[in-house]
Amino acid sequence: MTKYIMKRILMLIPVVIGITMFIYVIMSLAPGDPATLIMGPDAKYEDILAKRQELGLNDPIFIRYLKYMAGVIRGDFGTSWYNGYNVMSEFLSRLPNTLTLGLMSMAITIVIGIPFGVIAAVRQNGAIDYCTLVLAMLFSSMPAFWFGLMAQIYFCITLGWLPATGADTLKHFILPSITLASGSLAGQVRLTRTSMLEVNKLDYVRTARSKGASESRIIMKHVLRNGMLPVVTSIGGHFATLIGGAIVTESVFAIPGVASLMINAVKIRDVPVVMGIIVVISVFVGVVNLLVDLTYAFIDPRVKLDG
Amino acid sequence: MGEHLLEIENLHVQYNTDEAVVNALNGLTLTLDKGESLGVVGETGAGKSTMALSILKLLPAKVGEITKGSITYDGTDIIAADNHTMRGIRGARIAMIFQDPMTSLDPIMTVGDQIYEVLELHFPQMNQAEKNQRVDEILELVGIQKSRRNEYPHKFSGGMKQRIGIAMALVAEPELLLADEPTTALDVTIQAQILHLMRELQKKYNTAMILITHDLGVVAEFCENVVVVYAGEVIEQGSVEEVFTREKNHPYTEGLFNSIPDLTTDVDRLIPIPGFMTDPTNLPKGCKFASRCSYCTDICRTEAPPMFAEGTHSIKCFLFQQKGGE
Amino acid sequence: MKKKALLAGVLSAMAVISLAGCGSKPASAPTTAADGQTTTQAASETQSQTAETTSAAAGRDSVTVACAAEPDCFFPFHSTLGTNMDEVPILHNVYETPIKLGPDNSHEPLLAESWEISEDGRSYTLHLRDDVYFHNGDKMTAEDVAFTLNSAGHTSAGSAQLANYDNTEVLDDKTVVIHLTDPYGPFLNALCGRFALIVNKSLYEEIGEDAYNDAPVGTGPYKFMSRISGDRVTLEAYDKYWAGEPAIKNVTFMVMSDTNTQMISLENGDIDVLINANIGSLSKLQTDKVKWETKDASSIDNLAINCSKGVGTDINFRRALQCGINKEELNIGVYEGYATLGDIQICPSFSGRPDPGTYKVVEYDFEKAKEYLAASNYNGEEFKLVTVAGTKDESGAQIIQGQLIELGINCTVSAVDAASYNAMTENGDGDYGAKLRFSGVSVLDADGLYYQYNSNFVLQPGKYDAGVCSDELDDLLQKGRVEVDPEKRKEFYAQACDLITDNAYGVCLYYEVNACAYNSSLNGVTPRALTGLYFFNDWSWQ
Repeated sequence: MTKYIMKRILMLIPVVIGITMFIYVIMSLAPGDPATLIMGPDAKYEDILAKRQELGLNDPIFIRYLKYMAGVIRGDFGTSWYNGYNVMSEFLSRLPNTLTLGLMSMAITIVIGIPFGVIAAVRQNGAIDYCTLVLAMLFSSMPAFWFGLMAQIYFCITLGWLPATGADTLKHFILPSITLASGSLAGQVRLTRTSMLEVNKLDYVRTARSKGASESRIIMKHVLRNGMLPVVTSIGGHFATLIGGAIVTESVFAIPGVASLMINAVKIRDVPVVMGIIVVISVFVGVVNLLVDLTYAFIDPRVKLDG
Repeated sequence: MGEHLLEIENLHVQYNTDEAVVNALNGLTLTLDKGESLGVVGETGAGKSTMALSILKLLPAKVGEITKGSITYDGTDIIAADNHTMRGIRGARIAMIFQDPMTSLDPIMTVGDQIYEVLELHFPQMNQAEKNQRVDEILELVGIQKSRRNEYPHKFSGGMKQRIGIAMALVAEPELLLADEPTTALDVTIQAQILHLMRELQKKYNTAMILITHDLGVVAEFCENVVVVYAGEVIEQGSVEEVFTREKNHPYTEGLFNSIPDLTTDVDRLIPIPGFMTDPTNLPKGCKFASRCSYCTDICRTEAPPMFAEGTHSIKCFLFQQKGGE
Repeated sequence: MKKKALLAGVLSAMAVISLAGCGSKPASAPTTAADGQTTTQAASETQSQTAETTSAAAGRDSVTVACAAEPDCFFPFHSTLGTNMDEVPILHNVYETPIKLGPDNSHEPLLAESWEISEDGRSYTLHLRDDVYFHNGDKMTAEDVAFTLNSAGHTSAGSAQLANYDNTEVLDDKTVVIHLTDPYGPFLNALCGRFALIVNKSLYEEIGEDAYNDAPVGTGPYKFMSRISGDRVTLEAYDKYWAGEPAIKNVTFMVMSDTNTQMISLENGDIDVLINANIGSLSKLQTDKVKWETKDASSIDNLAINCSKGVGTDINFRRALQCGINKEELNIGVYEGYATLGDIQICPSFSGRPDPGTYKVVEYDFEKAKEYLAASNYNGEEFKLVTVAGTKDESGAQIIQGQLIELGINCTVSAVDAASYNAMTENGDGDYGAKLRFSGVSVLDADGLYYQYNSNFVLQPGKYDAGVCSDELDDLLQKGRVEVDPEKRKEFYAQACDLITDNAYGVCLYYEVNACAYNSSLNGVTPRALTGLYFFNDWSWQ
């Protein structure tokens, strides 16, 4: 077991290297000179040259990449080319917001999506089934910025129940989490429903029934636990994407998160910030995938973990 | 004979699929007594499994429908019984062993827990220690080391999984065991072991058994009585001796016997029954075997034959009309 | 059991991740003020209040200001970090300049009580106040002023604004003399600007510019308290401010990038002031809880034609563009009609601007444009308009595209991100027909033309030559820059603008407008021509 975990963690290293190299090269090759952007349109040529020298832009791309990674290994992610702040402290100050948003929206997706998926499957083709699917589709089809805006107008201005923007208290995260969760709700409901229906048709469910188990017991002990296997995998994968993907929600609700940090950095070609975030996200996704696999192995005894 | 343990009377069951209505059982009638072992023989699609599932009301919901007839178990009207009653019967009084052991066990539950589940459902008065002891006992009885009770099904071979299935079925000491082709999915050497085991346990607990199979040899060895099912009906029934002496048989049964290879004689070709099983979505008038029967007469095509009995041996064929009364 | 250990490991890993998320919220800011961090939450706590925007709810001494862009550099003339307009509101309230820019571009005394300019325009004598103290208690003296100007005047951006700067001499504790190599007409404006924000010399020498940036110390009415990345900056009133403690005690400066969010927050009372607001959205606001104002800004929107490559080399083609663009339509489409239509690339409020009637103006004339086009060599080639995506310029470009197509020009719009825009237009091969981008002139003077047309600046190595420079124009702009007599300056610039107009180097579309919206119970909020320049100590609740 520990050997497997070690192996997986070691495997992360080439993955992170590959991703970071790829991104670094792309950022470096993208049109636009960071020095010019930083110094502004009124800067003199000599000053721009000096800036380029200072940022190390005159070295070949590969050398720059190696220098950067050498720093990373020492734990030094550098400072923003644009405003001089330490990349890691900027990132870490934004991270809690993004994590909170991600976790809360994940929780909502799970807490609402799975039960409704189960109910839809149990009462297949009934009124609840259709209603659930239609509602889920409806919510998923609404773009986040519109949904968020409507929520703000209704719950903040009209009703005054919740704050519209900011990230100070947990209360501030309610609407953003719901907005973010709405996008994945349909998928979650459908996945759960399909998984449950498929398991329900399987032989061992019939065996359980033949033993005299009640329907609710069959669902809870046999169908649900078997049906959750694909759902667990999808949850893990989904969470990994939340870390960098909530840009619209962050923007609409003025939450200072990782996504907005990243987008702004890309716009002004602030390579250290982009790279710092990429490194962390790659590792994070790798670790989440590992956790998902471990959880899966834990739930399903048929899965063997030996690489 | 006294009260029968199980009485199935003129049972009609259909499957309502999107394309058509499949008439799986068309007036199936049979009886079973306490402790009796009955073999149910027939081709694939004859309706044997449907019958077993109907007894326990395990037909697929909405699709499977009992349209006519009655099933009476120990005086209880099964068809009219509510879910609560059925749950009391399933597993405790009537238990079932399924055909494919590879898929019949819950993969994420230990085998011990799955057997334990039966006790949990039906013996609330037993305490945990007693239940655990019982699980250990039954495992030993079916030939599995009780130290393996906390392992998962995928760690066992096909034969062992079926033993576990048997253990699950018998742990509550039911009165009736429905075994739906329990050895079809296993290889021949294991088959003998499993069947011997079942017969031992059946004798030990005096359980009545319905053994569904397409293998005449198995019936001959392990059953007292036999019914032959064709197109959802019983077309011949009697004791194994009566049916297997081959003096008098339904043409279909005759055909079955003829198609079995014989160790003693050399033949170039086996003799199958010509034609195919009747289309259950489009049943013919008259005798359902008519189109394949070499003895077919005019009346066979227009009228459905009743059962003609001679003592305990009954045959549903006009051929036997003159031999004694209805 | 192995499985149990595994479960424990998985659960604890997930717990760690969750705790990281739910832990300290918000995380402590990377930058804190030198005198300790007391993040005042008064303004933000009100966000969970009901929609009733009453002053009582907001707290009579707190204001929440919102802006789309994040300020992140708090040292006015940092030697390596970039400068942009986002920091202006913070900088001008934490620090102070010798002279304050009035709402009508007039010059009011601030740190300097009075000043004199020499006859030849090369020396500026400032008489400084005697009662000014920095936030850390140090007294402000002429040493600080001289140090600031000498340092700022030699940074890249600083030397652009403080043009012709030579050095500053300390006469005594209260007097400095600023020496220029040549006169510079708008120098007084420069003394109201960012690079004249006075810093504490001894503190700087002690801790260096990076530490100073983290914990700014100035003489202004507000102390810098904290910064939370991507979220807000908090300021607290300076009780020992020389002009008296300001009425507003706490200012929270929030970052809010989405326009709709800004509007909702305004209506909801979550924010009290919105600066650099979007006029289109403001014009749709229907509530008397919010007031809004506009001011002609210091940015000019100019369609600059590539005159050295492609169809732009043909003057008739350029003339067709010059009179073929309906600026009125553009104004309505982009600015709801609030902008002022442009004729020359000098904003109406700038000093040095020639008086109306003294320079040539090209009116919109569709028929004439068609004539010019017919007279040109244009044969249906693609005319590519480059602009920055997601800005008002993109909307403008699309409107222009429609107009040009009607004229018979095969116009396409290429809207790219800012970095690519620069790469294409400034540093590339000139693979474009015309570029559309606003340009701000912080010094609020006609001298802004220098950076658009003077070859000393425009034709530096690595920059694309768009063919707009000439010796004649260079001469006029240089003369205008160093001329002392205001009337003579106007003449030079009139001639320069005529030259530009005659050559149809571009089409000046409109002058941008600064808009700000504020709670109607708030007094004193007024935008200035310089984008982002607001003085919080002018504000008070009713």
